[in-house]
Amino acid sequence: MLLVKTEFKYKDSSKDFKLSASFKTSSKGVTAIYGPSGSGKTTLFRIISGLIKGSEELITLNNEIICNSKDNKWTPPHERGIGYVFQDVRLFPHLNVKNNLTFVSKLKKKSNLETISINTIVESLNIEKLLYKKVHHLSGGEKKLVAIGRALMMKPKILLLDEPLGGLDVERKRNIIPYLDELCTNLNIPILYISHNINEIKKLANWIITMKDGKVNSFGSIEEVTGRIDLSHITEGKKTKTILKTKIINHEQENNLTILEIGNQKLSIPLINKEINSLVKIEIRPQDVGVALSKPKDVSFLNILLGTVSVIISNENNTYIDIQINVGSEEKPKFIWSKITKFAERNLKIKKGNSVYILLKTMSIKINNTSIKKIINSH
Amino acid sequence: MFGLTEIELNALRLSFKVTIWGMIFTFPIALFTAWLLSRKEFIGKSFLNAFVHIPLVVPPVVIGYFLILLLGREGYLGRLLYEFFGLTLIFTWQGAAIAASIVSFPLFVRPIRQAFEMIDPALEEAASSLGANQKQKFIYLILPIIMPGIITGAILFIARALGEFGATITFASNIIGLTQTLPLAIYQATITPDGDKIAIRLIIISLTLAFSSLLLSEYLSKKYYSKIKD
Repeated sequence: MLLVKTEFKYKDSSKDFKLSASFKTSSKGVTAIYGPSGSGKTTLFRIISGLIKGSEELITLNNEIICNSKDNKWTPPHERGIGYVFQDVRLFPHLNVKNNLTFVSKLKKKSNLETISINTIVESLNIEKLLYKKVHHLSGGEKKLVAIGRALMMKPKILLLDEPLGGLDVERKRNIIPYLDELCTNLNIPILYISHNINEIKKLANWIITMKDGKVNSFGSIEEVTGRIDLSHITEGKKTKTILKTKIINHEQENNLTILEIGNQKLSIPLINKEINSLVKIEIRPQDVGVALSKPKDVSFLNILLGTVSVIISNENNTYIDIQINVGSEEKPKFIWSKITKFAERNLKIKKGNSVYILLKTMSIKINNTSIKKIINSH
Repeated sequence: MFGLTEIELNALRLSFKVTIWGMIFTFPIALFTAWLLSRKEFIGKSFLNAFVHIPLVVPPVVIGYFLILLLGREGYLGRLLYEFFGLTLIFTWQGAAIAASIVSFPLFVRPIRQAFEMIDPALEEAASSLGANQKQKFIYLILPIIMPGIITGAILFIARALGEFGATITFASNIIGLTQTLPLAIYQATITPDGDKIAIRLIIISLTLAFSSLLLSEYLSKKYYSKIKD
């Protein structure tokens, strides 16, 4: 668990920027830090890792105090054990990939600290082919992977990722996301993850911290906060795809179906080969979600969920509108996006707070990241 | 060897002795000065910078004269050295080494300083976050990156120190077998009747040394930088 309370001001008066943040993250899982450029995301990372010093700060990691300005305690960055993957990568130019990775082992040989074996890293990031390459010969995506590997070699207590997918084209992103996703699930350490791409965040993160003008605006689970974030970001690209983490509660072998739990309701998807009680991320395109005011009978849709309309986004010149429907509870919301015509909206008189049924075909629910190998092999 | 007389060989040997010892003692000072000039901001930095470069533009004989004032038997420091350690520098090969080192010092500092300036401070932050303390950062990150600068500086230093004349003759004098380095032997030959042959032989050696060391420094730094970049 990471606890951060900090105040920071640039001494340089030309930069009129003040950061003031206070938050706590869970001991596992991915916490995304989301906000526009200049909102202080990277500054926050630099304070956590000790590269700059806040005027007031209290940082604890797994209940161990890293710094506390009240006691004048401040641990220098090299003793913090915090893995930091910089936005601009920062691989060592005089070393090849392998020596970049083993840089940490060289340092720790003397201090007998634990490091992860290089084979584990190389295997899990699939960078075997790059080992003897000079870093100048790597592509942007490859550099990012090596930088992540290098940070993991030190067996960090927490991993800070500053826009690990920034500056990469869509293709490369698609290549790296599965690794990152797998990494996030397999590592038993918390990850803080800066991004200003809400879709990435929805895919990878469990919690989200939103920042603006040097202040932490909100903190909570992805489902909770994305409902509150300024939605213009999301709708700009018309990307209101739903991503939810759900639990497998049953396999109906006779019907070839797997049953998932969403809020207190059930969702059927085509049979998948994963253990009961394990978590799966599902993706639903808004255009695949239908809305009804009463529970329809005698229809082929297997998934009919009751929910409450929480947000309606309509654009004057558009045929369609986006509706966000909460199918979870008030305390633990689970949002599903639906895209319907304005005509239907007017006909059904849909208003915020209305109870509606959503209709979902089994085949329109996509399982996110069940077959990493497949994605990789296709490239 | 090459038909050189014992005296000439001695001059050559002495030149190398003076240069190598000078280099060994100058290296840490040059490294520190280069680091100071490239990495630190302090009052009087431009003064220090000018001071370091003075030997490049001042006649070496002036340097030699100042050395007499400072380190001679009656010099401010020389008197103390003699009193407490029984040490005499004037008219000795150690004195020649000091004279040659001071004159060649700026050539040693400059390439190292430029190499320091090439290091992105961001890389040092990366090394810190990976757990490197100051010492480890220097050994595993900075030193390998500035190595070509050190090599270039060392070679330029050697080339200059081997050819040092003015400060050496002023401070250490021209004593055969004791302080007579290669350039002093050339000078001696040119003022001796019938010394032309000796002078030409020594001049050829001197030119060869200077030329090959410049070529070597060029070659090494190119090789090293291409290793980093490709």
